[in-house]
Amino acid sequence: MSRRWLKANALLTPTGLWLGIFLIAPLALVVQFSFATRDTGVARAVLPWTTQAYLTALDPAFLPIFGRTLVYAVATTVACLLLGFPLAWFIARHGGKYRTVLLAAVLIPFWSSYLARIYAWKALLDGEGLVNTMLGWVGLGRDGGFLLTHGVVILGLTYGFLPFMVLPLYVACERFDFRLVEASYDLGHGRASTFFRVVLPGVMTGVLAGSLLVLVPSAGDFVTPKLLGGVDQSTFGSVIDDQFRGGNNWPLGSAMAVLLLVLVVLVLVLRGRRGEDVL
Amino acid sequence: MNRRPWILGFVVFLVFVFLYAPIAWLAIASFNSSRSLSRISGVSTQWYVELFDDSRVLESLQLTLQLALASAVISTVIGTLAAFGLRRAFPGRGLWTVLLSLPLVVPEVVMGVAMLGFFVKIAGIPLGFGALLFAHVAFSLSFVVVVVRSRVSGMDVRLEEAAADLGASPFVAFRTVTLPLVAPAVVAGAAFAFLLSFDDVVISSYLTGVGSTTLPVFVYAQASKRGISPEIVALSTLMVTTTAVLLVIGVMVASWRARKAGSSAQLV
Amino acid sequence: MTDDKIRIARLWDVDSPRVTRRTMLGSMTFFALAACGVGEAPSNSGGSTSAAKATNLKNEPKLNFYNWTDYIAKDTLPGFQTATGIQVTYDNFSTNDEMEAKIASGSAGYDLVVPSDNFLRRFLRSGLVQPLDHSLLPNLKNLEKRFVEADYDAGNKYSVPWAWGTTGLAYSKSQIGGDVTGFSAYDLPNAQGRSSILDEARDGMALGLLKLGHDPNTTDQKQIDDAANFLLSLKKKLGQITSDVIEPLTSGQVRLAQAYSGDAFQARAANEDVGYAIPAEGGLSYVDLLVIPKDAPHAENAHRFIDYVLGAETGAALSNAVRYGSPNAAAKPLIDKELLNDPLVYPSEEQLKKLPFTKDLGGDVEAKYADAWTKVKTG
Repeated sequence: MSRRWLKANALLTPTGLWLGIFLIAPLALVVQFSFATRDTGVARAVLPWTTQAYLTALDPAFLPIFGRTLVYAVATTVACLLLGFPLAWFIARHGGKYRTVLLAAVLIPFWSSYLARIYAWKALLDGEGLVNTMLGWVGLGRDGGFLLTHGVVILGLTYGFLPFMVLPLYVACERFDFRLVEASYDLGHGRASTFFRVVLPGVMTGVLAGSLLVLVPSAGDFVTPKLLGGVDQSTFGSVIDDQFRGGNNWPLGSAMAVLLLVLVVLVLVLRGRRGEDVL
Repeated sequence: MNRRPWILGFVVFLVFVFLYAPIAWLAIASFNSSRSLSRISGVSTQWYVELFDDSRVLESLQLTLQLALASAVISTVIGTLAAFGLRRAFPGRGLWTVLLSLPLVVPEVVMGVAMLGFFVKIAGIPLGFGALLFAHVAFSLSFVVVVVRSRVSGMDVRLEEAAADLGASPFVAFRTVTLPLVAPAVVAGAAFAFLLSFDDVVISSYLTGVGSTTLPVFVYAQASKRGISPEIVALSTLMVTTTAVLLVIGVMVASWRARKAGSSAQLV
Repeated sequence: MTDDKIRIARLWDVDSPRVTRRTMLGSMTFFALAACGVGEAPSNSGGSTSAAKATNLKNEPKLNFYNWTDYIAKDTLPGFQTATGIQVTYDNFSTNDEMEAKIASGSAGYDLVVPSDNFLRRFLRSGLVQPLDHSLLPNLKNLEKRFVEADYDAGNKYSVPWAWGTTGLAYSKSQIGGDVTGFSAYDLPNAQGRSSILDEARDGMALGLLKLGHDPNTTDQKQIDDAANFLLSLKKKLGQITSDVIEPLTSGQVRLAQAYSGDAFQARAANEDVGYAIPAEGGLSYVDLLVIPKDAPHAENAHRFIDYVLGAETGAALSNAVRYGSPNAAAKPLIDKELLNDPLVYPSEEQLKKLPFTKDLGGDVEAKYADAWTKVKTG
């Protein structure tokens, strides 16, 4: 037991205790539900133990939903990166003494109610909404507007998760030594090569942290697809949600949640030491 | 990239348009004379009047703010400690990172149901403010740790060592060298934790107790029988405007002070 | 099957005396930490069926009321407080599920909750509510006969109706481009991609069953499967499966929606273009009910409140405010004429015959419905 080990664990203890009591212990209940038998009464999950829920959860019928969830999550992450990076870079580089203000300005919209924001997007994007009307002037309008499409779900997710990307990116950019960019130009590198060889490696921890914070929760989000999406917008999260509501099937919902957990944990374990600096 | 900052500036402007488009619409709709959020039929301030008449909205707003503040403080403090703990590799670090990733992965409804069952039946924690606080810190911690770590992991250890060599006690070294370096990340983490708590519906709806309804839970409850309430649209508009105004005033005061002191203030 | 042969374990119920040592040990070896999470439980309702004298466990003038939002008249609570001196804490929930989860946890602290009839059946099966003490409810005589005889709780042993409505079709009169008289309206060209059905297993399935001419309370697996298949084909014409219809109907984004009459009413209040029809094939009635949880700390005060809202004047005021159907026959003369004559709120006798309540079909059949619905939603 080296000193470093002791010190690290001492610093981690409060977090470990908190998560252990208020998160892991409840999750143990979920694992237990997942091996229970479904009950349609108030009990929801009852004895005897069974693996039936897992057999159902691994039904190939759920594969398209899994795929769709992945597409939404990846597309959201990419969109957040594309919008978030210029923003974070600009604030860190050109913000000057207004950096805090600009960063706060990114967060201020989220002081409004989530439901109100989503309804506002619905109002803006529907058939007679402002966006469709304006696009109509230039001949790009679409009958019925843009609601209930995959695109609008990704837009809603991107909107909701953008701060999750901007904050860690800003933290990384703020630390970045901008003189390196000048140096790279002076050495004759073009914009693209400077970006990929100097800038990106320099802010990589931020990119990874932000992507993680967007990718994982957006895969579990179901409220946005439910409110903005159409008939075929069930995601893994919404299927799990359905199992927990309406007295449907708690063991199945729990089993699916456990599988999702195992999948992420596997990815974390398999990546080995690389990226451990981020999470 | 710096040669044409105006291109970058334009892109950033567009991103801000994207961020504020729905907010602008909410501001317009809050003066609508009908209950609809999408069809503007006339101008009226009745929703603002009703908002200030509605003691329940204001009460739950107060509760929500207190909860978000407490949750942000606790998760920022212990999350920052954890981020420092994970700074250098040690046996078992991988396990900790797996633990910290769990709150990001578990779907909210699963967490809500599990916490309700565990808190009430097993741990004997009554529903209400306490249960909400325990839960909010639990799901905010990971975000704080990720953000602070992205800063801590790249920090130069030699700065602190130099401070120690110069005779600074660990506490003084931390306060004068380390803390200023990680401050932006800590502030970002705190902002994160605050907003996560302030906006949470699904988990909270399982944990609110008698007389402790948070605002988002109240809003959802209202929407379920009557559609989204214009009062909430008015409140959202007010919240955004107030924060923006406070921010501008803060900046003006800060820059006025800085000018008075004759030095250029670095706000971050 | 006798009681002791059915081994049903009830979630969270650590204190249940019927948890046998053996199952507990089994659970513990299975998962030491969470073992107390699942235990064995009674198979039928745990509460006694005969009404005992209702008393307050805590002797204080308080009442904790858990209801849907905006589902009350402005004067109901102040009026009750003035009349009885009992202080009411009024909290709201947005789904039956979250309310049920809290009540099932056994220490939510509420004295009075308002589940919908489909959740009442689940509550009764699991003994979550206490029988009502009719000696404290002299105004019970004011109830309309239909709600005394209703099979979800005949004789009002456990529940008293709060307000009721129907499940039908809401539509945009100017945009739908045809007559909405039945489910064939989903075939109208203007409804393509602009229509929705409710995201509730029994309500959604009822649409399929009724369209195929079956009983919405059928227990026949074949009929349930047929209905699911019909809904899967209907899905191609729909825009959404959602219970969130008020704003989409108001804005005209959705032109045809299976909807609860109460929601259709809200949409119509904001946009007069919204119409509502009971389909020729039929529909369902639903009712939200006042019940007292088994662990209510102020059961006697809850009874006093129930009796208060059963009064003719308070019942009428309630109905006039929330604009739902009132189960209170004595209140009828005091209810706005406009409301009484609104077919959206009070369907004709003829139509009411085609609007049964959803029946409790027992655990096995309810599971069939739930599975068929999952198939519809994920298919």
